[in-house]
Amino acid sequence: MNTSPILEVVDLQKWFPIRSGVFSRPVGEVKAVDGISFHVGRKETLSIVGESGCGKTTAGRSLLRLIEPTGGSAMYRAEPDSEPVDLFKLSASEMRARRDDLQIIFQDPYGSLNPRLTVGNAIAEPLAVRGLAHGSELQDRVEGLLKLVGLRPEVANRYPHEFSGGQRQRVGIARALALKPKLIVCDEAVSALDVSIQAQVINLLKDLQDEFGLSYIFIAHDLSVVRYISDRVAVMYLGRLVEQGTTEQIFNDPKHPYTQALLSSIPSPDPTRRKARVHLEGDVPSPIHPPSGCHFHTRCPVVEPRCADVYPESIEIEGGHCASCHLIS
Amino acid sequence: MSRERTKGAPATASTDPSSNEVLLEVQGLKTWFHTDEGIAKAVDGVTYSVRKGETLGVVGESGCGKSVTALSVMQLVPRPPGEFEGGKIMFRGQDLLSKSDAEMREIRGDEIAMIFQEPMSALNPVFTVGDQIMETVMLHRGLDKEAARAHAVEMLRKVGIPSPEERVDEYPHQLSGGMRQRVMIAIAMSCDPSLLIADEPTTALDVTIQAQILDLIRELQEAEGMSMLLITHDLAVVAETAHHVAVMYAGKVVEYAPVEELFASPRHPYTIGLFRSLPDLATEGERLETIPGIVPSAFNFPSGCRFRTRCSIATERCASEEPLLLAIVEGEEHTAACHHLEEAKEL
Ligand SMILES: Nc1ncnc2c1ncn2[C@@H]1O[C@H](COP(=O)(O)OP(=O)(O)OP(=O)(O)O)[C@@H](O)[C@H]1O
Ligand SMILES: Nc1ncnc2c1ncn2[C@@H]1O[C@H](COP(=O)(O)OP(=O)(O)OP(=O)(O)O)[C@@H](O)[C@H]1O
Ligand code: SF4
Ligand SMILES: [Mg+2]
Ligand SMILES: [Mg+2]
Repeated sequence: MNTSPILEVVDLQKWFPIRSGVFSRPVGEVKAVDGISFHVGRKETLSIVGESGCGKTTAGRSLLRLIEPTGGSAMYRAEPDSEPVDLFKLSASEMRARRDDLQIIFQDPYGSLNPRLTVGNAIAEPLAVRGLAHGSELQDRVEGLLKLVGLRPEVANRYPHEFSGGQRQRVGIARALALKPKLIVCDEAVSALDVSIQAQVINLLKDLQDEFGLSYIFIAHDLSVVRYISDRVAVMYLGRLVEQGTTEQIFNDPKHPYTQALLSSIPSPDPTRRKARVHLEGDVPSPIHPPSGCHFHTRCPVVEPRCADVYPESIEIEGGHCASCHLIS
Repeated sequence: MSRERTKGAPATASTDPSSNEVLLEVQGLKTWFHTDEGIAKAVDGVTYSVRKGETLGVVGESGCGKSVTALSVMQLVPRPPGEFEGGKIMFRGQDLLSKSDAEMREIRGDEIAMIFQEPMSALNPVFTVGDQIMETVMLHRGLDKEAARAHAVEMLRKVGIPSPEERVDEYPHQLSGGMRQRVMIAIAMSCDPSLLIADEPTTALDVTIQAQILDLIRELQEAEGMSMLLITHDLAVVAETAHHVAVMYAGKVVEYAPVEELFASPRHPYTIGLFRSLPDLATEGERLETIPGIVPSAFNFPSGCRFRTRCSIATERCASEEPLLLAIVEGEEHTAACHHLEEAKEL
C-alpha cells in the first residue's frame, strides 16, 4: 500500500426524505448514511460489512455520485502524486469524466442491465462511446472481457433475460472492468455465484489488483470471502461505522460488541458442526428512528446506562484499529 | 453418521423429516429454450424428489439449470422460447405439466410458493410492499383489507424489517437489497404453502439476518410440516438447513445424498472440486482453488459425461458413454453419475 490513499472519505452523509400525503411533503428523513469516515489505500481492498439496510449500498452509490450525497467529502487522488480532488464538489460533467476511473458493480444485476441491449453491446457501449475501440478490435475486447469472467464469447449476442442470475452478475463485472478503472465499488459482486465461479472471480479481482494496482471497496455479507479478500474491514451499523481495522484485527480481535455478534453468526460449511449462534436480541432499529446514544444499545449484550445517552466517539485502539463503544478505553 | 446436536444449540434441520412421503417428484424433466441460435438445453433430464417436511438443497455451477427447474415446477418458464420436452413433475401424485393455467394459478401461492432469485424483477415497482403482501393474502386466505394489512405488518416484522408500520407503505426502490429479498420471503410465507421453493433466498442477507430467516423457515417447517426446495450456492446454508442435497451440473443431477454424507464424502469429481473452492479452506495469500476450464454451453453439451472437459480423471469411456445417476452402494441413498467413482476417491 502506498502512503497517499486513493480515496479519503470524511463524514459522508446521505439522508433520504420521507414524503407523505398528496403533496408529497417531506415529513422526516431516513438517515441511511450518517457521517462515516474511512480511507482506501492504493492497491488495497477495503470491505464494508454490516446488517442488511445499514447503508452499504447507499454509501457506495453516494461516493460515485450516482445519488447525491447530503454531506461530507471524498478526496480522490488518481495517482500518488496528483492533487486530490473532492468528488462531491465536482460538476456533473467533471464527475462524468472521472467515472472512467471509478466504477461500480451493482448489487442487482438485473436492474442495472438494459433489457433491450445484448450483453455484448452493454459491455461495448462505454468503450464505443469514448471512441476507445472500433469494429473488430471492439469485438475482440468484448470477447476478451467475457472470457475473463468465465463466460463464452458466443453469449455476446444474447439478451440479459436469457442468462442465469450468476451469469448476469458476471456481465456486470465485465462491464465494470471494460474501462480499466482505478477504483471499483463491488456491491455484493460475487454473492450470486457458486463457490467455484466465485473463486475464479475473486482470483481475477486479485490478479487485476496485482497487475494494474486496482483498489476495491468490497461490499459483501459473506464473511469468509471478506476475510479472504480484504486488507482492511469497516463494520457498519445503522448508518455509522462502529469499527474498522486490518482484516486480522477485525477477525482475530473484534472489539465492538456488534462486530463480535456478527462474527459469531458465521455459518459453518460442515453439517456436523452446526453451532450455537449469538442471536442479537431485540428488534432491528430503523434509520427512520435511530436509537439515542449508541445506535447499538437496544441490542447490545453488554449495554450500560450511559450507552443510551451519549454517542461513543471512535477510539483508536492500536495501529489504525478503531471502534466506537463506551466500554473501550 | 451421527445426527447428534450439541446441547443448547438452536433447533437445526437434523430432526428427521416427519415422514417418507414424497411431496414433489421431478422425473427426467427437460426444459429447453428455442432461440435463434439453436436450442439451449437448460434442463436436460433432471430427477429429484422432495419429501414431506424435508428440505432438499440444490447446488451447482452458475447456469446449470437450478432456477429453470424451479420455474418449471411453478410453470413460470416463458413459453416460447421455453418448452417442456420430456419428463414429469408430480406434486401430491398429480402431474403439474397437465394442469391448466387456471389450476396452476390456484396451486401457486396456495400450495407452492416461490422466493425468486432476483427480488427486483419479481416485485412490482408501482405498488407498495404492503399492497403486494396484502394482495396475496386477500386472494389466497380471503382476509379483508384491514386484516390483510395487519398481517402484512406482522410478516414484515417476522422477517426482521425495522419500523414495519412505516415500511409497509414504501415502494421496492426505497428498500435495500436485503430488505427486498425479505419482502419476497414475507409474500411467499404469507399463505403457508406446503412447498416453498426458495431460489437463493439469503444471497443478499448478512449472517445475522440470514440466521433469523433460516430459523423462521425451520419454525414453519416444524409447525406446518412445510417442505422446501432450497437452491443456494452457499454451502454453509445447505449444511445448516438441508436434509438431502442434489448437485447439478450442465442441466442434470450428478450427485445426490443425505447432507452429512455429501459433506463427509463427496464422490463426483465436480462435487469434490466444488468443495475445494471454498475460501474457508484457503489460507491467506494463497490462490483459491478453482475447477479449471469453463462451463459447457447449454447449446452444445459435450458427449458422454458433461463434466469430462474439466475432469482430471476423464477417460475415453467418459466421452462415449453417458454415466447414469446410480446408487454408489446398492440399496443406499447416495447416488452419483460418474464412470470412475473409485479413481475419484483419490482426487
Ligand atoms: N431511494 C431511497 N429512498 C428512500 N430510502 C432509501 C432509498 N435507498 C435506500 N434507502 C434506505 O436507506 C437505508 C440503507 O439502504 P442500503 O441499500 O444502503 O442498505 P445496504 O446496507 O446496502 O443493505 P443490503 O445489505 O440489504 O443491500 C435503508 O433503510 C433503505 O430503506
Ligand atoms: N429465456 C431464456 N432463453 C435462453 N436461455 C435461457 C433462458 N433462461 C435461461 N436460459 C439458460 O438456461 C441455463 C440455465 O439457467 P438457470 O437460470 O436455471 O441457471 P442457474 O442454475 O439458476 O444459475 P445461477 O446459479 O447463475 O442462478 C443458462 O445457461 C441460461 O443461459
Ligand atoms: S464420468 Fe468421467 S469425466 Fe465424468 S466425472 Fe466421472 S471420471 Fe470425470
Ligand atoms: Mg445493498
Ligand atoms: Mg438461478
